[in-house]
Amino acid sequence: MLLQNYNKNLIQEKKQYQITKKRHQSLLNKLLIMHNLKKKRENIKKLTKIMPAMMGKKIILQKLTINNELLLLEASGNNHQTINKFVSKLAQLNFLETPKLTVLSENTNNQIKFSVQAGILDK
Amino acid sequence: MMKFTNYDFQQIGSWSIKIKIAVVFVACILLAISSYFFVISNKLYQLKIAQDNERQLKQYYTSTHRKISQLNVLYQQLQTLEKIYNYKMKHASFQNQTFITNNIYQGAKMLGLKVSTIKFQPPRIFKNLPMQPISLSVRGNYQLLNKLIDKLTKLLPHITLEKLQFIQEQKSYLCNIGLAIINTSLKMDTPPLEKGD
Repeated sequence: MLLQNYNKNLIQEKKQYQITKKRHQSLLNKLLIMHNLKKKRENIKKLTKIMPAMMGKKIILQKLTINNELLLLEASGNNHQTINKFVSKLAQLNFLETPKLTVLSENTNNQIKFSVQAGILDK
Repeated sequence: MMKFTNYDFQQIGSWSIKIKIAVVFVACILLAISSYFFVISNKLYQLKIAQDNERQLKQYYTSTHRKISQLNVLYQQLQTLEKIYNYKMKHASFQNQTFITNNIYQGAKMLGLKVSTIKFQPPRIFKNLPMQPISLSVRGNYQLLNKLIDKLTKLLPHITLEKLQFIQEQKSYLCNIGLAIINTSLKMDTPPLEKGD
């Protein structure tokens, strides 16, 4: 009888524990999502801030699109060496996947038009 | 066999003492064996079940007790988390559309940027978090546009940058910004606590 009462109390306490645990988990998840979103935002900000320094004066940015998953960039440069240097600098960023360089058109007014695509990692 | 016929069962009292003891001994053994099979064995089986049950209940009690002993720590952690969450949400939830619009315009104006559009999209839910997406287009110098984004993230700490697009125009850049404000109150997925809250 005593054991049964004990058992009943334990079941009640267990329910309470499960509710608390769920609540705790839900809050933790929300805070974690917010933290991740903030981290991504800071990565995007960092990327746009350092872009001019990475490009230098020889590369002219024409279009830059960044969303939560992808960076897409269109620009023009005066020679391949400068462009490759820029792409290798991009590749060094730890929150970017390996950038994919595509040359769109060559020697239009002594300029090489190119595009770079890279995935943004969850870091 | 012949000897047994010599004993009269009607006159047991006349039997020798040795025979009497032997008969009583055999009767006792028979009684013990029959009582074991008909009474005790059943009780023993019940006792075994009860013992198993008791062992299981003890194990259950021990494991549950261990969990319950962590409950107080969990309550304290939960309260701390709720305080942090409420604090964060307090800063996110008070801002209305006019407040946000005014701040974006003022921020852009101070930096010499020109705001083309500000559009409040229909609110949506992202992983249980209600969000207010806003899209805006601003024209100006690349560095100044970056400063505006910086300002916005300082002013509204709970915004996410969903899309950022810089398009080169003749002398400046057109910047299309897709952002979302996390706008939520403390909504629980589970029923509220009954105690310790």
